[in-house]
Amino acid sequence: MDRRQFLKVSAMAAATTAAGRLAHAQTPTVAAGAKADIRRTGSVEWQKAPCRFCGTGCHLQVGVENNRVVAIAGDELAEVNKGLACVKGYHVGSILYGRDRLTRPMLKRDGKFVEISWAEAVDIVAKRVLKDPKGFALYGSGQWTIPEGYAGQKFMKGGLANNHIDPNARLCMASAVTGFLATYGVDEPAGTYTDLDKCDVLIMWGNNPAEMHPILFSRVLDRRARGEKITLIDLGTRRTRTTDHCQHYMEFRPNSDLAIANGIAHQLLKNETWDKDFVDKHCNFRGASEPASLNGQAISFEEYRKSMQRYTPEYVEEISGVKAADIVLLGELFGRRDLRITSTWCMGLNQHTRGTAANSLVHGIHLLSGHFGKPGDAPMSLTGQPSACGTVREVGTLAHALPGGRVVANAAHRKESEEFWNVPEGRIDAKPGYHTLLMWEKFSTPKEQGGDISTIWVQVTNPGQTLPNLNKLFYPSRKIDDKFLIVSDVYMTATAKHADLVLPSAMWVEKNGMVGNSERRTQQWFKMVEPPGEARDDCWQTIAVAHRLLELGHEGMKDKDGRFIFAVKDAKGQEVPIWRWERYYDVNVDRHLFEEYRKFTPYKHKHLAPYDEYVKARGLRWPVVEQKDGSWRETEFRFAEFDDPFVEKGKGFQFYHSVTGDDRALIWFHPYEAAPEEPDAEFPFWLCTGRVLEHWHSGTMTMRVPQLRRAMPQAYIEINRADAKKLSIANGELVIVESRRGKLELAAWIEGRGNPPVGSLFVPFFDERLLINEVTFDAHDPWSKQPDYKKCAVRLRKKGKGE
Amino acid sequence: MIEPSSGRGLHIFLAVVVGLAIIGFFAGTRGDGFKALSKKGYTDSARSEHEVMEARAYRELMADPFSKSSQRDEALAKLQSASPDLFAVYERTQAEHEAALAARSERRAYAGAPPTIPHPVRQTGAVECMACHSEGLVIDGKRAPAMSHRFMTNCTQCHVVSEGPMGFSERAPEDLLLDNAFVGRDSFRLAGESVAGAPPVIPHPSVMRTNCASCHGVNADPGLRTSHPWRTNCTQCHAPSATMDQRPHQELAPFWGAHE
Repeated sequence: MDRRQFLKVSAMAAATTAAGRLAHAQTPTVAAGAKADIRRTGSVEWQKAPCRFCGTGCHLQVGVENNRVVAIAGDELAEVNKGLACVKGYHVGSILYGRDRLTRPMLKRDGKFVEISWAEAVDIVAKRVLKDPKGFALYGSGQWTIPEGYAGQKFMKGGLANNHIDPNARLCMASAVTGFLATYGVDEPAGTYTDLDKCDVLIMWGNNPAEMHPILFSRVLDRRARGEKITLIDLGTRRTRTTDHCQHYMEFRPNSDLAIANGIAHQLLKNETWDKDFVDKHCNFRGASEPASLNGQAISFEEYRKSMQRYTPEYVEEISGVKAADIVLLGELFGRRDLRITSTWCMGLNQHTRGTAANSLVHGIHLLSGHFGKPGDAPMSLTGQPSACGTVREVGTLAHALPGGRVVANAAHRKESEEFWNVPEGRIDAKPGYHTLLMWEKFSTPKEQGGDISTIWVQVTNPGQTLPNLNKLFYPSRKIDDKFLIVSDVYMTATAKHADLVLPSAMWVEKNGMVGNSERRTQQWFKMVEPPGEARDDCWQTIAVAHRLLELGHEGMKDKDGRFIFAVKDAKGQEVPIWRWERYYDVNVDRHLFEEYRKFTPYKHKHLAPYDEYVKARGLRWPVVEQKDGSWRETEFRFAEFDDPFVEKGKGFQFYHSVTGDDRALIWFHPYEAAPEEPDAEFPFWLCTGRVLEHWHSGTMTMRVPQLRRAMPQAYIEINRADAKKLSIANGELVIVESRRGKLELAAWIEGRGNPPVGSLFVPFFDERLLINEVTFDAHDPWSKQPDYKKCAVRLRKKGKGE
Repeated sequence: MIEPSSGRGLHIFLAVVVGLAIIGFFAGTRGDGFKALSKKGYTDSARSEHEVMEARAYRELMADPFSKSSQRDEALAKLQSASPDLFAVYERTQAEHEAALAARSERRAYAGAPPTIPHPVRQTGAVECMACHSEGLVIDGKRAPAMSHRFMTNCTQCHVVSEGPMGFSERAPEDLLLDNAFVGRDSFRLAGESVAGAPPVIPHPSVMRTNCASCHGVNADPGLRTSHPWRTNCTQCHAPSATMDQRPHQELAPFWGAHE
């Protein structure tokens, strides 16, 4: 046997062991189903996994040696990133190895954490549930994997008959959801990232993809580097790294994005350049109703036109500060049929007290101008978390939702879900639970004053850093009796520090997982390394608590036939006690949960393929439909006949979940309105918060990666040079930023990473030592309940001597 | 020092100040006492005196703030290294090779990670990066390697500064532990020759490393330089290594956007 043959044989042997029991730590156990595709270079084993961080959904090749991640490479088979990663992605391996990883469950006794056993910890959680079943809440995130979120959803709504489950995604993309629902009657984008490869004009609405979605931005910049002509337009409230690459920068006054969108519609109507054919066939018009509802009220085209009349370029300039000529330019671009226009947005339009309205208006101008449904013509909402779409929006881990686009308020939806879960009829509560802000407000209010949430279990998120107005929503609960905070996390976060019980979690490739990115792409990976110490999967934690409740006699943990709601059988039909950690990986629990969840998805045409298809692919974009030859086909462009299998032949376009039931999308009118808190004499500055390239959200993971921490070691405040001069502030000097809710001391960075206009400030929120959310505002969108982190009024002063 | 009551002292003082200002206006702030603001890690003892260019006279600046400075051109000319001899006989030692690999790993989390930037950068834009790194150059013994990958313009997406992006230091580093136990995969090693005298295979993945001259060309670190930089059709003789390349061996995905 020569060397080459030997290598081949050993590779095959490795693949075979992968199918069996956990032979050695780096080989995943797959009791049944498709096997991991493992490649070797020397002693390093490589496998695919989607990146842990943002909603872009890049696939990486993860190099593992001796049960440790030792290298990362971009996955060249991945359509999203085609072999490239960003600096966070390349360094994602290090997030597992901060020396302060949590490795034991810990209970707070007399203000100090003491280590306890898992059995005790699980028992404590179960007994908190039993003590006050209706006062228990589960707070998760868009970082829950699909099976984790699904297990949480089933545990709460199908088991405890309790709807108090909500995710941090409420703070992140709730307005994108309501925007899609209001316009198309069904959530998530019609287009995909392919639009970025095809568009002639890219308009970024309050979006800084150069830092927040760098792979997608590079996808566009690389087209330009290859000689293609593409016009980049940055509509922003401050100069960013994105601005530098754009031909046009249009700086607008915070909250006036609605006026700009209306200004574009006005131009289309005035110049008669709107797409009459498309609108006649496929659109209806809507305006706000009294009282406000997501369905609004029908208006005629003439009423719509009349409402838009006042949004002349001059009027829009007056409101927004964007030159009238630029509004005319935007109107002209949208009026052209020979161009393909894609809009992207993320937190700028979503973290907005008018978020639903702003989202709807951007969809509206794309529909009105017919820049929809052709490759390169798309309104594309981006997400910030790896599974904000896959878990929160599709599994529906929201206080009002059920899996697959269903809602608790709908009796038929409840009945279907109860059937899928095999739980007794009437198990699911018809009343929506508390959304994020209400959940935390109730937790921070004494019981006798109506604060009826007594226990919150937080998984995979950091509300002690990321909730707005922490002084109102987070800290008070810590001083009220019988408010019990449970936190499952990987490090001692700003939230975990305040917890009563801390549970150590496994993360990323320490567990199996599935996530769904911004372009409807569902992705899968296998466990590759063991978690440290006693850290365990969040999904296991949920199931273990559920089983403990079953042992303690909670009837909700049984289905109609008296079986445990999370019962799993192995290939031989034997029930596997997955609530015991040492048995958890005897079967692929993810595969089991996903196959159960998959039944929910066809209702809203969000068909998913079987688990094993995702093992083979670098993600598939739903609806994934089985073909005659048994293969599975993904969908790039929804509602468009040329690609979407659910559009009837000859229709061209069909919005088959139309709110109006006539296959039409809705073009909304919403007026511009001032922000609820605008700068005044006392608080003369706008404050905007956000992210930076190097850190991901609250920095729990990235601040522990040396390359990222050194490149961006602490939060700062961006001040315009003119304002700094007026207040005698130099680079690096300490200033105090103060709102009506709180204040914070920060170092000034003038003309640094970004540059806000005069009268405007920016602070990133990644630094747990400098919590800007003690200053931010909790005013929120009436429909989506998403708060506005992008604008509030503050004052600024230089820190005094001896202060 | 100056008696306010005696106007004379004040007059002399003012005359001196005005005089100096006039001299300064015409002469500029030329001086040899001014040294670079050195920051640990960015400087070394080998830095020469002409590191910091002499400032131009205000008179010149007022006439044309963006005109070329003869001093600057002269200084630059002194800094530029002579064109290296492509055909010079060159053999590297194992020690040089080890030193080069060690230097590489200092700026990388693992072999194959994008290197961090060992100097300050402007926070926005890529023009400055391209000035040195699009073609690559050596100035005053400092090497600015050319991009090893195809032309891309969002540099800071992957490459971040090694330290101190803001020019002021972190205030309370002790309040948030930075102690990471990640151990990156070691440097790639030469896979050796299959037959004595045969050209070695490429001992690392070729992903993002399509410009061989970036690390192995005539301007490269002596420890990584090729003995024959005049040859440019590298893969004619050096084949990718099957054991070092972790790329999926199925059909390769096309490069960016090439799929239309």
